[in-house]
Amino acid sequence: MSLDKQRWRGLVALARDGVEHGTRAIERVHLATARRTFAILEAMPVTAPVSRVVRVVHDASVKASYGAVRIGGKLVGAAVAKAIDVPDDGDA
Amino acid sequence: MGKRLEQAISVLNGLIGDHLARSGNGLATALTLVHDGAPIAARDIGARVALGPRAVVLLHGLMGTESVWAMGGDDGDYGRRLQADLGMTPLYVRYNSGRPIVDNGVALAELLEALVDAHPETLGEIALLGHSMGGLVARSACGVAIERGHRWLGRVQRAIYVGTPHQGSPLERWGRQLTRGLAAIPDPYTRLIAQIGDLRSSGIKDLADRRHPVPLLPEIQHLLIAGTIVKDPMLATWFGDALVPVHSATDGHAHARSEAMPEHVKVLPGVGHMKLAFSPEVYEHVRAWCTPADAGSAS
Repeated sequence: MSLDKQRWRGLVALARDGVEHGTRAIERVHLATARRTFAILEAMPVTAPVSRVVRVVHDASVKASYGAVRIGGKLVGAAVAKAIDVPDDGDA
Repeated sequence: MGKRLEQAISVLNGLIGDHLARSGNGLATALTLVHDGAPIAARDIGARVALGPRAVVLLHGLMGTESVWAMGGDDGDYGRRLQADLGMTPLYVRYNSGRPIVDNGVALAELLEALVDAHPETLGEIALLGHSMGGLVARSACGVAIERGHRWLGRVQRAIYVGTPHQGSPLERWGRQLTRGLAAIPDPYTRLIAQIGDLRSSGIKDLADRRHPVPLLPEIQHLLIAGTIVKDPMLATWFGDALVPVHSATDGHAHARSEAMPEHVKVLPGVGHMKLAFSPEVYEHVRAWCTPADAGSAS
């Protein structure tokens, strides 16, 4: 593998790491922020039953959304890495 | 490969180079000798460079490459000037400045041993010249050489540290306190900021250390050069060369208001941290330090 390709692959891996760790960090903030609001709603008898259900749905959909972004990032990264490995005319 | 691309990669290495190295990322820079902008193996250096009996090994600082020495133009490059003035062969080293300093020290020590192995007869004297973090890497390499019984250390007579934070950098210490403080606040946003701040490399974090694990070896002559961005001694005490205070760059031998300096310590008012790598004023001291003692009496 030429040095250029090695670096291109490194760049792709770095972008993949960025998506992986970045979405996990934002997901944590998202869930922690929502937890505060739900905690208030769940403390009130009037809204507590409904808010518990909404919270479960919300948390599940948030995790699914960020998980989908991570999977998408991995797929795109794998496809780009594959494309980089395709020998061009200049390769022996 | 373009010089700008290499510089961008060196900045990336400085920021997160330990992560790149650990994960086997192709963007991680390996410690290597560089000739005409391209890496070159120690055993091949003789075929590309007219290796003389005296060599000077130049080590850049954090987020830098060997091109830092030529920022003032090729004529100002300390390596080239030492070659022209004193016949010393300049050997430029490039490394991943985000790795722990001790790891780079190990790699440098092994490189210099390989160099001496490849050219045992030619290479008589090696001088070490480090800008900023490069000086700390050189110190670490000396410690490794003692532990491993390397032969290259016996050929080192002079080491020159230019703007090297021997006693650490307050900026990194403040950064460390700030990220710890933010992480301690029970808020998801401040914790996220703390996590982002904590991504900085091991190389950067090492700059908080107030004491280098390897002492300045007594068998080597050490020249410590510090700069100050302002000429006023009081302000210079506070700001140093903008990144490194005078007391740290001189390993505690002087401060900006010192009137009497030891012979091996130079403080240059008005020379900032980066400019220390290509300042004619610095070069005059470097050249004087590298001039053999018998050269003056012979002329």
